[in-house]
Amino acid sequence: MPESLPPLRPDQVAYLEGATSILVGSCSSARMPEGVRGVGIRVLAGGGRVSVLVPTAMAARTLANLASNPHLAVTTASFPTYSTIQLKGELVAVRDGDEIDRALASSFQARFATEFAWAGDAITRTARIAVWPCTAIELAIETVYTEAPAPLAKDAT
Amino acid sequence: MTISLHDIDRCFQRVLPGVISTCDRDDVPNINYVTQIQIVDDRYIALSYQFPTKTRLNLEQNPFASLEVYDPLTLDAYRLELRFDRAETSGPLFDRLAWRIEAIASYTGLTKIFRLRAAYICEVTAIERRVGFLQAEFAPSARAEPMTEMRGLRLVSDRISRARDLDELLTGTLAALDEVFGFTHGTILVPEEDGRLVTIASHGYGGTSIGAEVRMGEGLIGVVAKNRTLLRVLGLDANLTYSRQVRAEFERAGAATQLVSAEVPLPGLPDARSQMAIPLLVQDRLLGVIALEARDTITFSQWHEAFLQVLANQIASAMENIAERDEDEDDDDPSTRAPAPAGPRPRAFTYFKNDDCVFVDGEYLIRNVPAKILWKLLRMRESENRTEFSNRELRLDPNLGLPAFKDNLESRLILLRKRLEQKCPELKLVSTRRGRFALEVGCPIELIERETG
Repeated sequence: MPESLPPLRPDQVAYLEGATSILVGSCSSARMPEGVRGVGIRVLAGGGRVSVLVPTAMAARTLANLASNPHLAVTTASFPTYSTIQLKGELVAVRDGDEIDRALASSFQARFATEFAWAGDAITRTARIAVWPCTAIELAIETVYTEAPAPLAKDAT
Repeated sequence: MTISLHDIDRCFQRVLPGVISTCDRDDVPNINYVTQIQIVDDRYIALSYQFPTKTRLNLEQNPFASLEVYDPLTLDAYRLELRFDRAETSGPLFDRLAWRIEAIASYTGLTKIFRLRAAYICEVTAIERRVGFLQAEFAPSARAEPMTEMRGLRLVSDRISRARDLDELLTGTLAALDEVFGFTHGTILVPEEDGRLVTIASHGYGGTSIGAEVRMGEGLIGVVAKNRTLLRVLGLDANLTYSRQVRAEFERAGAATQLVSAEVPLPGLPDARSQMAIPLLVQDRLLGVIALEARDTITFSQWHEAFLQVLANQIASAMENIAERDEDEDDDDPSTRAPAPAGPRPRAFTYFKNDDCVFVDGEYLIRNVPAKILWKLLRMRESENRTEFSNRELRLDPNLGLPAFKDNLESRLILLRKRLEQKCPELKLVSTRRGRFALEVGCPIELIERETG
């Protein structure tokens, strides 16, 4: 699978910030993994870092994991191409979301409808993912994995 | 409240992909989608392994994983803690997962690419609902109550037992499934000797699907027929979209194009979102396949599988009984009478000998055994003035190519009758009494025989 180092290229930045889906993975010191859906992503530091927003109510385990294990995985996907970019890296900082983050997270709800469109219009017209309050997790990128749909994948995302 | 896998079985209907988190031996996490998940029993689920992925590698290094799944009806999210137990590369569970993947892949010509390498069996050690995942929460739709299921079973069962002939049995069953469960689109197909299945009964398509064919092993119906097992595919549109993306990737990359074959058009509804197919078996002998489809993603539930399997067994037995009853009939000489008065519009029937195929006025009518039967009837009418025939004499004619045992003659006559209704209503096959029928001709006809088209 194509693998690259930071900084992110402009096309990768565009892809990440336009993704319809953001998944954030962490792991506890007892090696129990945890996933949470992100509700916004911003590329920082010239493409060397990202800030990922996660709903605070959903993120307790993730935040607890990060206190003992700084490794993070952030996968972004764009439907319907099914290609993904996964970032691996280490935690830089965690902070409460601010009003700017809130605006970004709120705008993400429309993308959520795209992600869940297979369930049908009836539900995605009315259901809204909870995005606020959110927590911003800043990640220093170590590796970037670009993945086409599964069969072309090799061994490491 | 403890949540069981059964409580959230809708989440495993492959409508919305789940999200799986794993980590490697260095505690580096990985997170990605997982689409093929199957409940094994109360404690275990199976994840499909089709391609080498980091998820699979991680599970072998660290057996723990967390999985988030979504209810397609309410969008409620559930978090499962998993412990990888074992990989299975054969057996009933593996087969079931593999066949479902094969059915979807065959629609997009990717059976050589999408193949199951292993089923990763994971123990589910905890399940919790993700409270607060949605701003607004939704009550799930009411599930069918057991009494509703029982009433439905009784009603459909009554229709089956009252059917006087095969056509009534099959069309009545499909109509009853619509009436009771809202399965608005259904067909029943029977196997031919050449590896195809042909539609002889349909409901919801306006009769246009009669005679439609599916190859053994292709698409959901073909895979069900080949493997003689019920399969249910939900989120068909999502699965096809994903498969087509994969296909496009392969074509873009110019990679392994020999692995990609032609797409198989969806039978029936072009916009179906869910399909279910049930084999009609007597012992291990395939009598046919019931194929149901819906534009709704979640029309077919887990409990329908068991329910329809019971009905399928009953239908197969009834098909067998009707065939045997028919074979037991006496062998009086069929009566002869004058041909029916001819109507104004002449019709030309052309039989292409080498293709076993009949055209009417240059338009395809029917092929294989039903074509040979029609041609025999038309020739006998012309040469012997015969209009009434018996099933038995057809069975005894070696030129028709009917198998010596369980010849499926009734199905073939139904197909012929319905194709005539569609393409040449001036000709009718009318039952006169059990095991006998008349060929009614309401127009002048011309018979042409050619070697090949």
